[in-house]
Amino acid sequence: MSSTSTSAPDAAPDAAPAEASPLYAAYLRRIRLERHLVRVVQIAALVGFFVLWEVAPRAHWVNPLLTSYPSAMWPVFVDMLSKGELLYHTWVTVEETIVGFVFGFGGGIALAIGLWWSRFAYKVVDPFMVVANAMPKTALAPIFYIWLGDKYSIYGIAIAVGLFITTIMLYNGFNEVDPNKVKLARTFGASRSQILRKVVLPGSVPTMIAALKIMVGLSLVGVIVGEFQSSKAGLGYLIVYGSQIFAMNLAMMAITILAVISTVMYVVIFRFERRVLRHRQ
Amino acid sequence: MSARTPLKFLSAIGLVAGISMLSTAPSAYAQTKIRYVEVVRNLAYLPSYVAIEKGFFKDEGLEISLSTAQGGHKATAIMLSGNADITLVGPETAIYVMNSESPEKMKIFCSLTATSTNFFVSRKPMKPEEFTWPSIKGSTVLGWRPGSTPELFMEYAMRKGGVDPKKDINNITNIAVPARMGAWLTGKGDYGIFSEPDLTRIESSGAAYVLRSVGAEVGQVDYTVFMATESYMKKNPKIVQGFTNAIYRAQKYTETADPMELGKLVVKYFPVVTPEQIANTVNRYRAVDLWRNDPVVYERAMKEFQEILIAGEVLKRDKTVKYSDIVTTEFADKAKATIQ
Amino acid sequence: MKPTERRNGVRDGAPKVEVRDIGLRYLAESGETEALRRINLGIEAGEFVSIVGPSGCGKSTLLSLIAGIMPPTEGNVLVDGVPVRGPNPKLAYMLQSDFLFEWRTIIENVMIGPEIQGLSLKAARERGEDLLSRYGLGDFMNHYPNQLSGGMRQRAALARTLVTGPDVLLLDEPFSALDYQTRLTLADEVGVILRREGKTVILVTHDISEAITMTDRVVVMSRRPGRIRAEHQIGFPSLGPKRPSPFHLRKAEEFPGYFDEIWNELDIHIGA
Repeated sequence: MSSTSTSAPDAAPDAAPAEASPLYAAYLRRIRLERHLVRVVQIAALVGFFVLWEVAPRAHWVNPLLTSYPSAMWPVFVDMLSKGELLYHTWVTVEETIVGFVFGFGGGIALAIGLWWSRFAYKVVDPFMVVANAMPKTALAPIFYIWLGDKYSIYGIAIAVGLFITTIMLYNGFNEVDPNKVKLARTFGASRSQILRKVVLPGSVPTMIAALKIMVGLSLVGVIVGEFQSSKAGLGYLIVYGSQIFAMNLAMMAITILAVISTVMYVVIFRFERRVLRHRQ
Repeated sequence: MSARTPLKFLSAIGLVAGISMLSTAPSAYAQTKIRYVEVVRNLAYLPSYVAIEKGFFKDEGLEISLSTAQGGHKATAIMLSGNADITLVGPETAIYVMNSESPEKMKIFCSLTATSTNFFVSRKPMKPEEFTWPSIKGSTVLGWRPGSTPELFMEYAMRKGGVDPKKDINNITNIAVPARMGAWLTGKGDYGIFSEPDLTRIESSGAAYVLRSVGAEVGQVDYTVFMATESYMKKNPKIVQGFTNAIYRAQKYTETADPMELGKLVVKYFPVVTPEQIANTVNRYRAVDLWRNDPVVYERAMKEFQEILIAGEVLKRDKTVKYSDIVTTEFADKAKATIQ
Repeated sequence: MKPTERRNGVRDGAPKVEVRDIGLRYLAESGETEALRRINLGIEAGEFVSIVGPSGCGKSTLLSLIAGIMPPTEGNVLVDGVPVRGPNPKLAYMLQSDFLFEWRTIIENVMIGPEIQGLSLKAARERGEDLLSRYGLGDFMNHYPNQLSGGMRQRAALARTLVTGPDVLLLDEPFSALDYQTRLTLADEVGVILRREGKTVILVTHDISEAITMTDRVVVMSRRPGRIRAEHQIGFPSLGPKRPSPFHLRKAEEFPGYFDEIWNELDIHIGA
């Protein structure tokens, strides 16, 4: 017999039981303990690293001229921070990295869409793209300098260094979007442009985020290489200048700031990823 | 592809890598192998290549393994980390290390170049006789890296000539050394400084006109010297002596040899120039007394060197070092005594 | 009573969907493959037809041709007398699995058809919400697909398929991705819904029981190259004028007869 309304919907997947049993409470305690333990060990490792960095050169286990140490770096840090120089140099590097990865990523999406749109274009371009990707772009830094000059060569390297791998990743991502979803859209009569906008692009967001992570790291590398080459400002400049005048505390401090910045950038992307991919599992 | 193919491929790569590593291992012959690192490759270091090619090192029982550091701080790092025995580098290295917290200090034991090896050029055709320093005021100069001796010596020469390098010119100091020639050729700078062999290359293509030798303007202040760590010198005095002897012989040979002979002898170290061009450079250098013929580094020279560093604001006056802390003359003195 | 067999099911009046002399050949560097040969089929408005056949016989491909997402090598498909040149909004296609977009909510997924076809989104949204409520998904409209069970998702897919108001439904093994119980339940529900709405339905399935209990006519295809081997008008006179739900038809006395005949026609060899 058919009914006018369908049967009650299946219960949504497994809800937790109404009351926590003692076993469950013990389990939760164990998990929290482990989490705290992990945090403690992580912090201890970080502290231990800085302690070692301070002690080893001063005890002459390693040559202090080559490594510097935290208490030598601290005065430079405070001094440059108060003069605003630190913020300036840091911003120069960060700005170059952002430009690099925005245009690198944007360029990668544009190229990937072009290759997806025209199968013929893909076939023509593919071998060139493989070669371009395999070549170490940082080795071309001097050539970039000759073509683009001081500032733009840095942007150029930051973009070039990730552009091709991003294009390849995104293109593959586009093709990996479930073909059944594409077929579904086609059954409704979707045009190529609609398929791109409604299925392929939203469907490859996980790939885009993976490419974004790679692109950020590569751009930072490209920026620093470019700054080593020809900059008057930025963290890469500080590293080079510091090494040349044997002010290793300056160079090491710049390197430490660089490490902090890379970490911050990754954390931002991870947070972004978690929010965007919340519903896709 | 069978499961074993990747394994075979990987072992082949491993084998190639292993063999290439073995081929650079020291040989077990009677000669003592010395790891010698030069700060850059420069025609001004010609006597050192002569010493290798004429077998002067070999005569002292030394086999030289030559490497190029591409920078003073790099050479220092290589020395202090124990990866080289003797280095050819600017004296400022010994001063910086002396002032640093490094437990290992460096000491100069032999001279090579008497002054700056750079030449001041202009883009527009100009005769050296017509040039005066004040005429560069307001123009752009392609300098060297800030704090480097090429830069400091150039600034010193300018001040001597009545030009304030910080105020009177637009000094470009942010270009990496390998990129400098490219920058000049693409139009950067009205004036610049270059060393050999780059100098001959841009001059012969009409891209630059040589106006002055920076070294001649500044005067005789040792610019590049041989040094080693104190502990190495304590442990291997015979090696350091042998090295000094070989260099002294090369200095004497270079003083009188035919330029073309010298050109043919060292051309293999400079694939971008011909023996004829090297011969021209030899004459150019001789005209400004670029090469020391005496291995001793004197106190007067080191005093003036520190003045140049102070003028360039990379050394504070209260941080100047004692001559005896950075130079030892025992090896050079003995070389002069024993070799005719 | 023996079921009657018939070839070329064209009857009085123009059929809603007509497949005329369809042939399909796949071309590849390694060679050409004939997938379908001389298929002729007529489906009346409101008819519920199933197509069964061995694996690889081309039944899904035939559906794609009717849907207009693939052109035939020979022949024509006509809908309401007009040759098919591409996807037609009068037809809707339901695939093996729901393929809901995980980045859209349920209601947003249901709206994909109207969005693509440029229909009035306000009206479509009302229709969509109505359909979802009727299928018991009223509380889940703003949920994401990953929060729903398989059966719920396929019901959402059904809503998506019906929201554009198509006359003809093409179902390509729509229950094959579900577990057995959900499958029987859902087949029951879908069958009832579609009959009530008076849609013309072409169902492709490998499940003979499903074909017999859900549809009016079963078309049997041969193995590749796919040709029509036989057609069976399905009727259950023993159960009286009111047709019970598919689940109960399995127990009808006519059922085993149909099943055996079709099974033999499928040429499946088991054992010796």
